[in-house]
Amino acid sequence: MAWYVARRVLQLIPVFLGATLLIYSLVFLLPGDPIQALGGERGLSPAVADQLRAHYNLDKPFIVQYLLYLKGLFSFDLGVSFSGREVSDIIAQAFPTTLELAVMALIIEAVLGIGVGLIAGLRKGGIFDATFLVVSLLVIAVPIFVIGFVAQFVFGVKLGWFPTTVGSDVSVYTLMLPALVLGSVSFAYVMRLTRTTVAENLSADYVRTATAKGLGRRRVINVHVLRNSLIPVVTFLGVDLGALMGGAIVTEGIFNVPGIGNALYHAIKAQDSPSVVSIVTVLVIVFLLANLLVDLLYAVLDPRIRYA
Amino acid sequence: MSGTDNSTPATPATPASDERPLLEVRDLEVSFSTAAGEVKAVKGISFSVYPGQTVAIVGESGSGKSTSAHAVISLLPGTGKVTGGQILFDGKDITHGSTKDFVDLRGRKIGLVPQDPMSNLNPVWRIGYQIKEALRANGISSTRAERNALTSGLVANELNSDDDLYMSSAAKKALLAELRTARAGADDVDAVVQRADDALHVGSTTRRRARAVLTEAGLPDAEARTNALVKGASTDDRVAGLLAEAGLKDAERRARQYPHEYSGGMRQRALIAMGLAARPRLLIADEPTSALDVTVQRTILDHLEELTSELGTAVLFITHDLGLAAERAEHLIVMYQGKVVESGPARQILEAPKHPYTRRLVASAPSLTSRRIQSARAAGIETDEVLASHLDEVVKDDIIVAENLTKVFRLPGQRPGSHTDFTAVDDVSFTLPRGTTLALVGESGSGKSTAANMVLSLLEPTSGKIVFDGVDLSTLDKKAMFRFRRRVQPIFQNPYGSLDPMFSIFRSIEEPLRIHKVGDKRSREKRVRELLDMVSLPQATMRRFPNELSGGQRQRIAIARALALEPEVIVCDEAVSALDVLVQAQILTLLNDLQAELGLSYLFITHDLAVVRQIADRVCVMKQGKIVEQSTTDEVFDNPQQEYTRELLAAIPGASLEIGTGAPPVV
Repeated sequence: MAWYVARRVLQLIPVFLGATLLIYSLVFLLPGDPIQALGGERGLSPAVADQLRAHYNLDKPFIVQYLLYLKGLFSFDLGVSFSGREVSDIIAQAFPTTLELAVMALIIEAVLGIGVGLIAGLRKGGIFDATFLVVSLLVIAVPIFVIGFVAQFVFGVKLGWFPTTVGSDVSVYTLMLPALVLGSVSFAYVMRLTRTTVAENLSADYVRTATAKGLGRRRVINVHVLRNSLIPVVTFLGVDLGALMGGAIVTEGIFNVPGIGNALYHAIKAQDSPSVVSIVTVLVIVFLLANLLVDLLYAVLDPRIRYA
Repeated sequence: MSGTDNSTPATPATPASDERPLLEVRDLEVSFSTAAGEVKAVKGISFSVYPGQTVAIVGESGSGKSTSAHAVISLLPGTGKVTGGQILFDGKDITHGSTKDFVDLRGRKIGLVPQDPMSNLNPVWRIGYQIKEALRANGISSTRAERNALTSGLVANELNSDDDLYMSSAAKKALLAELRTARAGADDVDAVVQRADDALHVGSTTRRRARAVLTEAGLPDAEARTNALVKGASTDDRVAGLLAEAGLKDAERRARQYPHEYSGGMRQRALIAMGLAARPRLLIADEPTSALDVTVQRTILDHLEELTSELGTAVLFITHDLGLAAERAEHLIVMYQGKVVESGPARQILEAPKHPYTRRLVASAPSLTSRRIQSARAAGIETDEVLASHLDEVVKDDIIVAENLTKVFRLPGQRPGSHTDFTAVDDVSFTLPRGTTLALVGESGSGKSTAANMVLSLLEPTSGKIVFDGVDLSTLDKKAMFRFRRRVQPIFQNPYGSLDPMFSIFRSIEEPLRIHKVGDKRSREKRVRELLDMVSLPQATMRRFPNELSGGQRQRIAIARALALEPEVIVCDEAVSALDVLVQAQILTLLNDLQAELGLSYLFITHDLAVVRQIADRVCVMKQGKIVEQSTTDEVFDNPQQEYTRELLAAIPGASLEIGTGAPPVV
């Protein structure tokens, strides 16, 4: 087990280096000169521009820039954005909001997805099953910005149950509507996945054996069907948590949530490469950690994995 | 042929006594609703099982035997339901019992030992936990042995003195320590303690038994000491006890393991422990050992028999193997196409089968007494001539010679970079004379399939060489290897897995011809038709797909495909093991006819010695990668030299029975 964990952690290192190098080179290759853009309409004198370039290390070769950036990263110095703010400040401010939103969305999709999927799987072919199959198909088919705007219009404007935008007032209540919208697509996937695996496991031989032992139906489902069915679902949820933490740019945009997605969007628009690189790097780390968590959880759920 | 019209429903011919049956099935009908309407799987069968009796239902797959058994405990899969008749358990009608009725019945009154040990244990729970569930769900006390009605009379006075309390692991440890102190100084102290250790099972040995063992071991004042210490076991101890009763060694540690850490035989033992955990009065054993090696099969069935007769449990045994059924049951019920065609005492059915289907079954049951199949064409000729012509072929040259074959696999170890070597095939030599059949026999893990894969050149030997028709295989270049592949073809075990489900039969058979660029489109189609004729399938089969065919038909397709390139050698890797006996006999006959017709040489890989006798000229018995015995088939069967070979022979189900002596041979 210890070796299994150690191996998973070691595997993170090449992925981390590869991902950061890729991000760094992509931003580096972006067309346009950020220093000139900084000057705006009037332009900068060559002397000032050169000074700025030296300040941001833009006059050095690519690989040196990358190594300097890695060095900064390991000393928790994420650099300064072109607008003069510490990038770590921007992230520290936006990240908690995104985390809250992501966890809320994850809870919504997990609870509803597994619950509905379980019932649908147990009554495969019934009305409940058919209804939610159609609902989930609809949610998957309609783009998320449409769902977002419709939800905003119906629940925010018409019914007035929730505020239409979040703004600076971040709370569980104000984040509820964006979390629902954000979780809806994954809900559909979780529900379908649960439904399929539950239906499949129901006819497994070991479930019949459990019934033949004299166990009641409730126990057979809770102990023998559900745990086995959750293995692939947990994998999906973990990967999804990573994706949700990455900030839902569209949803955060619609509801004006001051999260990481919003911050990233503004940084990209301003060609603020130090901010973009740093934010994306943090997101990569979060994603990797979420995956590590999935792998560990996976080993807890499925004993066969531990020795592999 | 249906042959079922004038059959009478089975009546219990030999009630164990004049008491009422434990299980009585009357005119049971089971249907499955499909898209095409209702399909009747069981069409009005009747039988009885008396307390303590063992009854076997015999039939091929699809005969409705498992369906009938599952109907008894309401475990019919999918859309199956009982559409007629009655099921009485202990005099009570349970035909349309509620879910709760069956939850009460299952485990506690009727236990089940399922078919496939690989898929019947939940992979994510420890074995011990899964057995504990069976105890908990049925409210079984783990502190003392609860005697059932049959045996309680014998031990009635035991119950008064708490003599049926189980021994806990703490009590065992304490008693063994006391024994060691008491016997300290004696020369044999270690041996005595070890013997007592082996005889005492935590959670299974009762106080009475413990007293007897310890008195014999020479513990002074054994009665008072055992009475003071043996005071019942915990649930975990009882679980270990159940596993030990099912014949699992080192049960306390094993109970904490997961199914994937068990071998097939061990899993089956765990399933037996589970089925008997709540001491049911009836145990349904659904093909409990058909997935296991013969020797493992025998020890497990012996153990099951011992256990159930000790506990007085009645057994309903479901099997496709007539020999096995006859050996294990007093009463046989033969099912065919959802009906009982014959039933009666086992011996009577074997010696004088009445129904044509039973007669065919008896005739084709492979056993020690069966002889090598003669080709259909030769059937008309005198036996002497056949034997003579066959011997003539034997003196021809050797098409395959394996010399000192060794294959070592490198297995990854626990730590990174470490590895252990596993010798799968160890210095094996054999020859396959042209036009004959050589059988490699052994249990799973004996290295026979690895050897076959090296002959097929699918694996490279670590050392040693294979000479095919005078040429060392390792010297072949890519082109020569391609030509070699054409001359040696395989047939694999599982006809469900070896045909591509997306390919039509025509495409499957034609593929090797296309790859080797044989003929044009029209001549290839003609060849496919010929091949289908050769394996006795209608030519129209070529437009169909594998899922529309039965197991036997698919294996015929696999044979046709192997024959397409007119090979000289066919390697049959357990080619008939997955088939029912009747189909198995047909396929073996077909292979034999083709050998006579085309002069083929077979390398036959199997674990089933009964099959070997029917098809092979020479036999190599393999054990742990080595050939332990090599001789002609008759020599091996009549005069086995090695203990291991004798074990394998004794393990053939029905080996001790004379099957089909009174029946006219119908093939």
